Amino acid sequence: MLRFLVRRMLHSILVLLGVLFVVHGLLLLTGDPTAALLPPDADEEVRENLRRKHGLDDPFPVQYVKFVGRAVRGDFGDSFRQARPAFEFVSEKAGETIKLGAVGLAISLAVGGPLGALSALRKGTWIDRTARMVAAMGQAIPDFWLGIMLILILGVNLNWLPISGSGDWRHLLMPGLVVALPTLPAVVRIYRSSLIGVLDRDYVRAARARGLKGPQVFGRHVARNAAIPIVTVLAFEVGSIMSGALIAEVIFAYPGMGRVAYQAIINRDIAVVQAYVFMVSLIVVTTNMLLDIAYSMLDPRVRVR
Amino acid sequence: MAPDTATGSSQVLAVEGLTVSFRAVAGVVPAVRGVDVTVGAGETVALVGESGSGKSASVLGMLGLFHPDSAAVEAERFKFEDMELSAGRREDLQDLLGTRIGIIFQDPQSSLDPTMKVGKQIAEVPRLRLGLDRETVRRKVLDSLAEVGIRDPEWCASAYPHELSGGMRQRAMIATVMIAGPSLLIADEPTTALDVTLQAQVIDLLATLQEERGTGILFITHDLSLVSEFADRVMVMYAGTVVESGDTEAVVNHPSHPYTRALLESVPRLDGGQVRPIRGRPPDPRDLPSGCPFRTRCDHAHERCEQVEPPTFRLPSGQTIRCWLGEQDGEPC
Repeated sequence: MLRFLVRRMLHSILVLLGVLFVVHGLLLLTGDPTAALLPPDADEEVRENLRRKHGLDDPFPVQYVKFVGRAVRGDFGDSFRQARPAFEFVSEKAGETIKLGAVGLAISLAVGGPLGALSALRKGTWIDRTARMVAAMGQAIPDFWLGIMLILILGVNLNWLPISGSGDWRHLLMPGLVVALPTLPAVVRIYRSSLIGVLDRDYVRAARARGLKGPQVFGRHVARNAAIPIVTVLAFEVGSIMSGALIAEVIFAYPGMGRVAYQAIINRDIAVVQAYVFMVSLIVVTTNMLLDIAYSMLDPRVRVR
Repeated sequence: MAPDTATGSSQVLAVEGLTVSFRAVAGVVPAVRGVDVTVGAGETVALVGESGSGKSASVLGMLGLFHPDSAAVEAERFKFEDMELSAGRREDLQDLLGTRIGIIFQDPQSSLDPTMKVGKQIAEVPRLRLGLDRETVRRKVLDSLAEVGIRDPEWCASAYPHELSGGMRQRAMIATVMIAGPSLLIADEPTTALDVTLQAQVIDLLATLQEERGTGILFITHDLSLVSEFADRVMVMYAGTVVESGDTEAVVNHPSHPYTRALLESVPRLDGGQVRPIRGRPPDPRDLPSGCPFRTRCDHAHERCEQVEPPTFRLPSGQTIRCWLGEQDGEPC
């Protein structure tokens, strides 16, 4: 298990180095940074000075190595707009975003799991058809539209939930739903199809032949085996949860790092954007690692001894 | 256990006029069309037939292991031990399955849950069905693993199925089924997925367990040669009916139904006898030929076979056959 963890961690570090390469490339792809930072009529000499100060005149590999060296210490330089370290902007808000992402994930699993199970156990009935229709609708609805509709109906018309900001759990419900939107239908469909597959397995028939009752067979042999593909899917979905969080944060004025990134993009505050992208990658890579561990706990066949 | 089962004379299972029909999109498929089965305590009865002959459908059907929406099961009589039950009724059988009736399936690899430790699976019946306490269950699990010939029961109980060899898996499977000491053991092709050496070992093991406990065994197989050394009685199934039935010796040495003969000739033998495959293929149960269902592949078929499905005749050699050939020497029964 320890060797598995060490290998998995080295792998994650490699992925992060790749991400940093792209993040650094972002800076060059957006054109001359000095054009954004200095007035259009600034002297060439001033521009040169600024480039030298930020190391922008070094050859690319040197820049990359220096950049990585600073990035691993959480140093992405100062925000171009405000004289504060860029990483600080992002990291102080990361907790809020992680909380929102976790709520979204919890909603997807708590609603999608039972819906998928019901759909599989009542295959071909109106329950199944309804659940699948809800799933298809969820996949078709754009998240920003759902956000606006939620504000309109639950927030403004019914006045049940606060429409912006953060505070208690009620502030998390609507943005959480928006974050859950792309993942929930995936959970429903994957769990349904994997349950239908598992229900047909010989070991399920053998458990029934042992006289176990329906719920016992389901709880002991079906639910867990069928959950394995969900873990795989969640690994893919972490990225879409993070991007969903950005949308939700902007719509609901939720003070997370996605909103910070959104402002930074509008202001062309590249350093903050870089710090954000790095932070998101860090979250995705870490959750993927945790999911791999969860996977090996669910399925002993992939466990490395 | 009832006192009379030890004598080996009482009947564990008695089924008469069993029918199983599957509900398919295209209509109702009659898979089993009137089958009588009896298994005595300590007796081994082999149900032999090609795939699709209805042998598994009979057994799984009468034990209520098909979903009631997908199969209709009926029998004139269904008696297990001293209980008159209705065949295929899940509610009737729920309490018996796993405790009084054990079922071993073909593929031990896929019959064990890959994500649960072997010991925990074996413990399910004593734990959940018999409600024994943790310590007793633990001891029983280790005992039963030792009994099926596992050398290191502690290790085996804490292993996952994929860590065991094929033979050990089937032994573990047998342990799950035998742990509660069932009086009837259904073995559905238990050795088909194993190689020949393991086949012999598993059959020896079943025979030993049977001798110790007086279990009645209903052994489903497509391999008539396997049966000859092991079963007391043989029932040959074709297209949903029993075409020949009797003591193993009578059926194997004096096969009387053309299908049984053809089946025996289609098996390769050590003495180098000619292997003759049976021509044609089993009929589609949705579209059985008129009269005798075997007539399209039978060398003895004549006009009458086409018109009337033959009744069952009892032959002087002891067995019964469902063929007009039995009319000469046999008595209709």
